[in-house]
Amino acid sequence: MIIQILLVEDNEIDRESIRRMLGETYVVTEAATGNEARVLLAENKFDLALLDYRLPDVDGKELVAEVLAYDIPVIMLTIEDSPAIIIKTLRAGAHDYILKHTYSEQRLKQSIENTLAHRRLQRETEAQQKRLLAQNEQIRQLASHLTLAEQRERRRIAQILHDNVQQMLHSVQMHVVIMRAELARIGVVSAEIDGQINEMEALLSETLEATRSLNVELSPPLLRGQSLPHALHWLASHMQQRHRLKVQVSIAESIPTINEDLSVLIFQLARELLFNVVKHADILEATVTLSNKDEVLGISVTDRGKGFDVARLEQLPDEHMGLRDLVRRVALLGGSFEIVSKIDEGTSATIYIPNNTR
Amino acid sequence: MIQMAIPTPHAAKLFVVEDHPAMQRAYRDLFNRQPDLTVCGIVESAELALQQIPEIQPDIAIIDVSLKMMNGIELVRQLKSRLPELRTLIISGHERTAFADTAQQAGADGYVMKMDTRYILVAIRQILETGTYWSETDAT
Repeated sequence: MIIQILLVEDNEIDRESIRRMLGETYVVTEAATGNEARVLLAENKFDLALLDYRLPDVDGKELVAEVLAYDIPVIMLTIEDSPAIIIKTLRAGAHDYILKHTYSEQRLKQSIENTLAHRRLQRETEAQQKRLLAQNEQIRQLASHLTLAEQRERRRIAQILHDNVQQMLHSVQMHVVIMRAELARIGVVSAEIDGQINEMEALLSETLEATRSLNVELSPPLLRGQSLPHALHWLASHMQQRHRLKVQVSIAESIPTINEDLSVLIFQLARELLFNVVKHADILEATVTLSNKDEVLGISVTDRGKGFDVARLEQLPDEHMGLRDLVRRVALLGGSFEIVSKIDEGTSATIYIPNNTR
Repeated sequence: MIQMAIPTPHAAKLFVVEDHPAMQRAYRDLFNRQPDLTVCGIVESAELALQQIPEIQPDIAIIDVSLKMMNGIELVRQLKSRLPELRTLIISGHERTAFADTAQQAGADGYVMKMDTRYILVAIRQILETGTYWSETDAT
């Protein structure tokens, strides 16, 4: 590889001797003044610059800054030996500072090689960092797709359970009713048959109940085409019936359309947070609020129950895993989680999610 | 095979809207066994129901809440606006109260749970005789 070096030196003899030292190993382009150097910098690409500090037309400090601005490493080669200037120049970003009256060919070449090696490493690190960032982004996207795909799959299974399995079970239930009536009509009376039919009916009810709760667990029972606010109102009445929790639902007027994947996630978050109120808050009232600000949706659940010490949130026992999983999914979608709680004053948990999930 | 009861001349005419074939057969078997009821049509979609019901003029339409394309509640709304005299019963496979309120608001005359098989007949007869039937909506 050909290494291009810019040499800025106003003393012709010095220039001559440096050129002789380096000319066989590198391509050396010479400038006798700062302004000449500027022209060369604008028109060429250099791998390194060797600069004199004392130039007739340009202040050394300025030229160092200009060369560094081109992202070219700088080695000073000068008679300027004021410690203050040396320190300042090195701090400004020069790679090395060599005093003319002490330097040797070996010292200069070593400095050039070190500087070039340092620069190569720096470039590699930057490229690696870029790759890492891109990979991180890819992983985040994959995880986000994965969580949405899982939701779709849950919905698909729930749909099959409801549209097919449950319908067939209901049909069997009806045939059992018909059979019982028919047996009575033709006069077959037997405690044994009666007992068998009762058992069938009980088993059918149990099976239906099991598929029904599996269905609710897999995917909230949103009627096709119903909106999230509607589903939250349904959730409120469901919580009251099942858990005697009185839930007030407050929905901002500015709620935009929310796609189904996100609706389901928000619904699950609200449900999980309400379960927490039932289990831990020691109160039977809560408020669910759905808000929207700058394309970010907020879902919060607030209670005036017994509260807890937020500092201990990290050591939550496993029973909170459901919420923890959901919060992780929210993070993957670029959202955040906020919880405020005070002992005996209640808890307010809010989750923010950008409304741009495809 | 189920032996069919011969419908009396004044048997009430039932029109069933249900998209699952097994449920269609079960409804037909159950309703046609009743001397006071007769099935005059079974379709799988709201669209077909809207086409056929005005022609057939049943006494009551038995409508499943979850239909594809247009749901049962929307179907009730459209039927009621065209045929105010038609009685409608919504049958729901969902949780108890899930759609009772919206069914009532849409103009349905009754709401019954699919799992309460025996009450389906009770609901139909009560609507035909006294006007309405609303399934027990408290949680069990």
